[in-house]
Amino acid sequence: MKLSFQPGRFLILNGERCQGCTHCMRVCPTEAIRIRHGKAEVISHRCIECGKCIQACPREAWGVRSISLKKVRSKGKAVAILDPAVFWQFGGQTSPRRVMEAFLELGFIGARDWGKGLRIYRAAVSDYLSSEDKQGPAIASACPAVVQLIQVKYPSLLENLVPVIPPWEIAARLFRQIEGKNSDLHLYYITPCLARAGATAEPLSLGRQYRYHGAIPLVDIYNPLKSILARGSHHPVSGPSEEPALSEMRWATAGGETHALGMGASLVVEGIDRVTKILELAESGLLADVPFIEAWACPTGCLGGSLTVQDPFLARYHLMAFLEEREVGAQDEGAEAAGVNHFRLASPLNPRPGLRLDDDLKKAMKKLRRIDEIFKRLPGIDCGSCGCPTCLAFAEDIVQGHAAEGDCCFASRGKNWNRSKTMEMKPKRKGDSKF
Amino acid sequence: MNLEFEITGQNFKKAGEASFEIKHRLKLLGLPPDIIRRVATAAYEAEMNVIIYAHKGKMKVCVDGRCVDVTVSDSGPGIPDIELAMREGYTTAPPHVKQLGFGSGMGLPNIKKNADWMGLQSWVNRGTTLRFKVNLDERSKKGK
Repeated sequence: MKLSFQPGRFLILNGERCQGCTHCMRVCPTEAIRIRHGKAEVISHRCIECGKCIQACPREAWGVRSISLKKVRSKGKAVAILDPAVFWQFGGQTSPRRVMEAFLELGFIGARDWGKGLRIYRAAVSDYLSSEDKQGPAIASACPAVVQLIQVKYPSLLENLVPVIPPWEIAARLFRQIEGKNSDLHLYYITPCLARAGATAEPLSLGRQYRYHGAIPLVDIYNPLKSILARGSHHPVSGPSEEPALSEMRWATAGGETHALGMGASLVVEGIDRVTKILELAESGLLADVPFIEAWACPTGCLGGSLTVQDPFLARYHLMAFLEEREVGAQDEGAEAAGVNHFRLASPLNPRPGLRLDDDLKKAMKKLRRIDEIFKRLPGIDCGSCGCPTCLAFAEDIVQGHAAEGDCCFASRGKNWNRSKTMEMKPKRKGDSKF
Repeated sequence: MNLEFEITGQNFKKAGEASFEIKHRLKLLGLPPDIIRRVATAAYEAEMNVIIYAHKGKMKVCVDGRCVDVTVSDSGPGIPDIELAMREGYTTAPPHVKQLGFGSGMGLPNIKKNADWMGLQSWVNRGTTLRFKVNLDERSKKGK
């Protein structure tokens, strides 16, 4: 199988800033990054858009394809749909309503949260969880990076994903239905992460007419928003047409879905590394007694998204303190059970080729044997100098024709080099140490 | 493709590592998700049996064009009555193991459920050899 090194749907690299330093390569959970010719590259079919690379880069070389605010505002038709995590980026004194108003002052003609779309989503998920005869735990599908991780690495768990259209898509659909088909308003999604930028660009289920016009990373418009909010008193042209739903704000954090569904307890896992561990257990049939897994690629959930600004734990504190102060309890409105079937995914998601070495089993076995042979010759210290995250990944790249064994800086030392000697770090005599 | 893993008895911290590794290899081969899930589940149970009951053991995996063939052999106490051991819920796990949440008597039945073929040989006080196969051929696939 040919690997394609292409830029992702939204992920882009600033080649001038990238120094080929391997930080991103080491944290990528699907080993999708290589350093070639001194710059980072992405194996696109493995990228799950978790944004770990963006967060790991010390030089801000990784970024997201964005739209300029000027362009968004110019036609006077832009409506912003705000991700729940967006509301908690501006400190503890800023109410969600005030954040919506700031978007209006910024030049959007409308600002909304997921609103009714979220209530429908919640009802559809509840309906699915209670009605079906399921094998193994159901896995929440609200984090698109987790969904992609399953598509790439744990395809046998695809049938465990909750088959409901995500809330941002339902929100877009409702908006269009209310506005009418001929409305020429432009919908923009204000996203806290790379994964939702991708997910809003390529809807899972709904027709093109419901599509977002674009996704705007929160980090890109943080400064103008912050300065509007810092100005204090204000006179917006008009207030937001809908009040933000405070009872649904917990969706910004891990555990929010469990709370919203009114489930006493479920398995809540945060951070892509821990999610990987849990999925590993689920795949081996070890979580049969767990009914529901709420998995988030980022620590704390969406507040920790790769395109947020505020410290996620501080943001979570602000969120929880806000709800506590106003005594916002669980959702007050009853679930809208009627017609939730329309919001099921029509067909299950497809696996992605992810890890497969070759489409032909015999060839794949041959390649795997060669990988083992080569791996035995490598030092096994995962130094990353060859541009691959591990010696094993390097062996794989050699077999796939994307690297040469000579790229290993230890290969030139020949068969008999002594690793312990090479890697000697202790000072031989007193005073020999550089440190 | 052949693989071999050493398993150490009582090492619960490393429990599952061999079967996770096998799973990863099968994904590299691009085997269908359902096959991988069944092999992984059965291999995990077999690995746990060695960890719970035996001193040490070996897991061998062989993949050819037709099936995944797993052999787990250990030097342990052996199974005096295999028929009894195959019953769901029957267990001889010591209390300290049960405290850890293992040894519920579902291991062998679970392997049988997931494999297309299973064979078990045991010698009391010497050890046990378990072998199971999962067919790659769609037609001979076991239903869920």
